[in-house]
Amino acid sequence: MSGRFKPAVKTYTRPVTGGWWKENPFYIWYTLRELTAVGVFLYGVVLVTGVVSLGIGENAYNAWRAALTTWTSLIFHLILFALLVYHSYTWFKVMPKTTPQIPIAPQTIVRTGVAVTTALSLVIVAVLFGVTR
Amino acid sequence: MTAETNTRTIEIDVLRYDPDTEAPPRYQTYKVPFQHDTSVLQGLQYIKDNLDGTLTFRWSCRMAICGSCGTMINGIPQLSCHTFLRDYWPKKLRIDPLEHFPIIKDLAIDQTDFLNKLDSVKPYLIPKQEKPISEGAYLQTPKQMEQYYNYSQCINCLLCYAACPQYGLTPTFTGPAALALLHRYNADSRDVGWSARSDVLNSEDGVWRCTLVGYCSEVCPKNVDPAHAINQNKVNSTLDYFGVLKLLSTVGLGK
Amino acid sequence: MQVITCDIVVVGGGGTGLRAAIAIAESDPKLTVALVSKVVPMRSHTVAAEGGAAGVIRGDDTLDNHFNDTVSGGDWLCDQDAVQYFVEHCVEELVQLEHWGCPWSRKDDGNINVRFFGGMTVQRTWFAADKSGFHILHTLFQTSIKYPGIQRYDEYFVADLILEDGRVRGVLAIEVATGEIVLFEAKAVILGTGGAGRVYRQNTNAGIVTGDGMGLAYRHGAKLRDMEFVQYHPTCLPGSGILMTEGCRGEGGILTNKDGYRYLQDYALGPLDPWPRPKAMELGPRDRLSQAFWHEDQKGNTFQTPLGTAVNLDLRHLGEKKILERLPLITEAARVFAGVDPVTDPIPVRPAVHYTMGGVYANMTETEVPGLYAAGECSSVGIHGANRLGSNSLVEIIVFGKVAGERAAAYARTVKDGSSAGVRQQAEESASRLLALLKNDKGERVATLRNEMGDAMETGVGIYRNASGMKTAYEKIAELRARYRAGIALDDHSRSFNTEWLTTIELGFMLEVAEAMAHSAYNRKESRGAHVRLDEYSTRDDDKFLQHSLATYTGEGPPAISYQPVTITKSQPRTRSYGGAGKQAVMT
Repeated sequence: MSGRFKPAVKTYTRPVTGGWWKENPFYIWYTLRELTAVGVFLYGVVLVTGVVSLGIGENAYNAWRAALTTWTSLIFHLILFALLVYHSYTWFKVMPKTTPQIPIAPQTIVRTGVAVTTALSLVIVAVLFGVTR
Repeated sequence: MTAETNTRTIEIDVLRYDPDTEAPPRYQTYKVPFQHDTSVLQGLQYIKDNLDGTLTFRWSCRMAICGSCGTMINGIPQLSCHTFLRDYWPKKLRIDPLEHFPIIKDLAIDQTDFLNKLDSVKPYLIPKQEKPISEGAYLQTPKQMEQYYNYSQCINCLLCYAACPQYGLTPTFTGPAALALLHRYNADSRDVGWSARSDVLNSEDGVWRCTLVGYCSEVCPKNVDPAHAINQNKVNSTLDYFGVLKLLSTVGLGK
Repeated sequence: MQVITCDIVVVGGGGTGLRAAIAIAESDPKLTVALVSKVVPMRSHTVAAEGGAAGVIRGDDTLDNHFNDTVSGGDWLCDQDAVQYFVEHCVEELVQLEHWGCPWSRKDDGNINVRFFGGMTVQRTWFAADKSGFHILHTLFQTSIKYPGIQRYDEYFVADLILEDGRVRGVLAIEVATGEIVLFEAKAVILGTGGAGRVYRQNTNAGIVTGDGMGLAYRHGAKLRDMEFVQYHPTCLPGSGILMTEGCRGEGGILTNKDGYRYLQDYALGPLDPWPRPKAMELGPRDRLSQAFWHEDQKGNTFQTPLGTAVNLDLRHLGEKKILERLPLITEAARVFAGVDPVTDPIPVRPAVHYTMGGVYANMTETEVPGLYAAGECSSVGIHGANRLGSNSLVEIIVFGKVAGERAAAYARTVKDGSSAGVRQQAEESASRLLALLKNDKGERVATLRNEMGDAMETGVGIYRNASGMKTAYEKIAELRARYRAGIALDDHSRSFNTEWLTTIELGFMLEVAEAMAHSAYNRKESRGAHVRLDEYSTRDDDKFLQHSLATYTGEGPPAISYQPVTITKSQPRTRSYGGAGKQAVMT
């Protein structure tokens, strides 16, 4: 940045390599956190495909549902599920950094968020399970 | 050294760079005797005093308050006065200058970018009007002080800049410490300088360059939590953008 | 050689230098101020000061109280006119700092809180947790950024003063990053370069506290005053010397020996109860507490640690909440450096050198050299006398930093501009001497001489002194000076960022300052304040020695010691007593 302080003349600048994200466990977990957004996107694609197939017709929709029951799909969805769990957890893990100065301990914010999300998820699963019976 | 009861030896690799030659940086290995309470800084001082007087590093207070001795120790930004050789033995120790800064010589990095960033955030109290000394001090309750006090603890050691990958990728980023200090003044009940500092805060290189990696707060030796200072201001910056300054939570409003 | 012209050079970017520079910028925005510091200003040693800054604000306190505490604390060696000015201006400077944003600790109602400190009758120490120096320095540093007239030269090492026709004409500095030598031509120079504690082996000081400004002024005709008075802070971590602030005791902490006994009651500081009460027991003055430790050590009542003998600083009874709120820095330092948690264990402590009461003789910051000003720890303006009270130094730097700035500004306005060939010539000669040091590769290592100096001072000019010990010390220092002249062999002959070269220059200053200390001590044939002798001169002698000592540079030989009367106005010397009966103090 320009300013009244001029940098020293003979310095050596170390280049930032493309592999910076691998150099430190903290960076690796951060990069994974960011990549979970891709997981969210991919799951969105799956759902949109389902909606589109519903619009095309009954055959297309059944084909989509059939594709979902394959082993490939199950493994794919398990991976996505792991990514989305990490996505949700890290969402709350960084939340304390985004609030104004409030007298609530960061741990409390994280634990409350995770607890509420888990509870709501279980409720939704139970309701859907009941509805699809 | 004082009488040894339990002296061990550790191998330290230090990155050397001589600006008066064309040679790129290279590691040099030293064997350093140490005791239970010997810090990495004392190890470096031992090398300079006894083995190699050319080894160059900054230091001053030896008690983690002046911020001079920041280095990368095994790839982690730390204060060398505050880190102990016993925690690495018997493995080797690797010491590099703080990441993301140009190297002047050996472990001494060029701090001028930070000094310019510090200038840019107007890190001084901007009161509503000059208060005569005869009126005494402003009133400020402990609760009001809690709003900003943590952010005033920054010792400018630059470990957060070494930790921040966004600063490494985009060195025009104002950076954690400077933005934390910017927030420190905005959040001070005696200050009304929001508008004076908003250009810097709202810019692409202000809070918006931060992607909440959070490593800055992790390495900060004083628990300043710059990640919190920056990210709570993303809301403020957005409200400012939409012209609803009056909804800003606790920061002083410019007039 | 690069030449930079300005009106005033301020050497040193700590509390004193920054306050002086701001005072100049505020008094006259047309004056150019070069703030020249060998470190970036926030690294200056002001940053490590912990306890607080004194200023009379309580309704039950008076300026006369502060005056009397200071004068008796200094064992009547203070210039009372300077002390009067000092106590009258403390509060306005502390309020000014607050207006600039300094986060002084508050009471619940939002008013400034004050605490007890050693030797003070009433609570009057303003504090910012236990990081008062840190907050004062950062407030001043950040405020200084507001003034475009303050030109910063960070990491420029001032290695010489340039005088012509008996007055100051500028300074010669080394740009650390490149090794380039730069001449600053100025009409006035202010020294805010700090103390010289690093001449002793065990000290609380940063590596940069090497008496540079004292050495510079001394070599060029300014006298060093009261150099024999060196303060040992009673509570420092063994080995490193890291400071455990007096604020610990100001909050009610106690000192016990290996038997868990509060030994200070045996040294005319008791009785034990009620506790806490001002000016008694652990709230006595620093010289008395350090001396008590020495006696306990002699008696075998101290306990052994791997880094030296120690006593216990016990804070446990204060409770975790108070400790973490009021003393966070020392808590962390004790945990990290001594492996001890003050909440659950006592902290091992012993005295270490902390502050230099003496310095460049300066009458209200004006030295005897026209155009040369000195303030803060590097100066002797006469407020500390033979022993400094805690929390008088952090406020000294802002009171007298401002005075130095204003007086230098007034002086600079009377001086005509103009460079001179004579000045340039001197600068060239000085530069070649510095470069000769750089090139030298024959002789001893700098660390060897530095360590021998530290040991000699520790042994011969320590807490307790005697004639033969001091003589051995000054002879050793003379020998070290000769060995220094014979040559320091450097490993590093490069120009860029050569800290080995810079520490060699610092060693030159330290040896001369140490010699002045040792000779001043030897010649003071009495005991007063921090200068206590165990030989035939173990009592105070107001008839012969109610005087300041002055050390005059003679070149390669030892300093010439002379004396100067003390200015006494309203407080006549009496017995200095602490302890005694009293009411229990209400802690705030």
